[in-house]
Amino acid sequence: MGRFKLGRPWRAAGLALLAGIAATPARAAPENGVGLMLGAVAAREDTMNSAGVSVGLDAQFAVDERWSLNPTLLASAEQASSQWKVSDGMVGLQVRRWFRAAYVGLHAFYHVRVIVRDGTVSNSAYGVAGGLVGGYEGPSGWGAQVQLDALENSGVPSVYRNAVRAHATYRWR
Amino acid sequence: MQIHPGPLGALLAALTIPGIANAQMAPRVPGVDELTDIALASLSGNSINVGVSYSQATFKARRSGSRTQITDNGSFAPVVEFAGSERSLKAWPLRSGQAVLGWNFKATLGHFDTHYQILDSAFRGRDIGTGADGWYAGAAPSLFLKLGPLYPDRAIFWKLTYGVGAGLLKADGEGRFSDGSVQPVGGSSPRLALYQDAALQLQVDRWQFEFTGKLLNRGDAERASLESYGFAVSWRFAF
Repeated sequence: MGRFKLGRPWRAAGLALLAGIAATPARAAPENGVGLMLGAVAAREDTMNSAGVSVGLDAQFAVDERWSLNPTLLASAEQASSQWKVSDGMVGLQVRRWFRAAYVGLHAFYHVRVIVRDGTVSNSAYGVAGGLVGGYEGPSGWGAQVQLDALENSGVPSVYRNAVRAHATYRWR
Repeated sequence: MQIHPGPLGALLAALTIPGIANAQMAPRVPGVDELTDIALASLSGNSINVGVSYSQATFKARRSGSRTQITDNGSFAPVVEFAGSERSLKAWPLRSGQAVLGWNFKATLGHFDTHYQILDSAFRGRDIGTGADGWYAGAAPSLFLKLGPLYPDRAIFWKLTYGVGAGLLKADGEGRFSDGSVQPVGGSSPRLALYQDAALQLQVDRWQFEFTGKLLNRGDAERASLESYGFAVSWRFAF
């Protein structure tokens, strides 16, 4: 399995996220509602790097003021080269621990990844995997989120897909 | 003096007394009863679900180390499903509603017509004259996790289910095997199969929007199986 390193843009995004969390005003979070996620994804699988657009939907069920359960749907369209494209779809459940309007959480999901070469699906893989998520939601419903997905089984022995997603989010409460 | 059970009492009653989800509560108090009814509806009674799905069905078979896969490349199909009363095994309170781990009985009927042979793609097949069609039936006790309602005044629930049980699979046709031969597959009569069913649902009032996966495995020498994955919209007729 190849090592996955966060590049400079991702470190900057993480610092911005932490700064946003620190500056978040106190309020009763989380709140129930449907959320939309839109952003970018960067992934690595063996020697193949890909990047693209990530979009998702979730439903937030507040357990109390500290915890929420978030069933999540995510899909990405990625480009690895002029010939190779990657798509990844996932259905998962996030458990989030809230610190006022900021949260960190665990993400368990089932994913299907396909690799398309010149318009033909040349490889598919699916399986259960896990990840980490962190972000914040402002009083207006707008927010930001970073998600790390690891060990997405590729179906090929010793080859796993790792991905980083950065999303702008909006929740209808 | 009349004592109203309140939303919490009604919730506890719904969780502990099967079938109360459909019971009429009296007397009705405007506002309070509306919320109570939505909370009670977190456990559904018997229903027949009728709708339409867009799914990809793939028939697979093996024979002496060689295998064939034939798909429909995705098609619309009717949804006909029976869902029994939902029973709670364990429930946890949420800020709005509850999270329920429970079970119910589900049964389904379906038809398939696969005539695109999968040759050089992982998912999409090509029309080379092969094909298999037939029908299936499956019934299984299903475990579910149900959350909601999402909003206090709307009956919107999220539900994840998985069931394993018994089914019948009838398939007949011919397929091109990986050794290059074209051979008959299936047979003229239905055979017993292991049935698995998974679904991720968003229930909005009586509408159901769901991603579904169905798998039937026959334990015969051909090791025939049918997989169907897709999206479905259906309406729950409660009874």
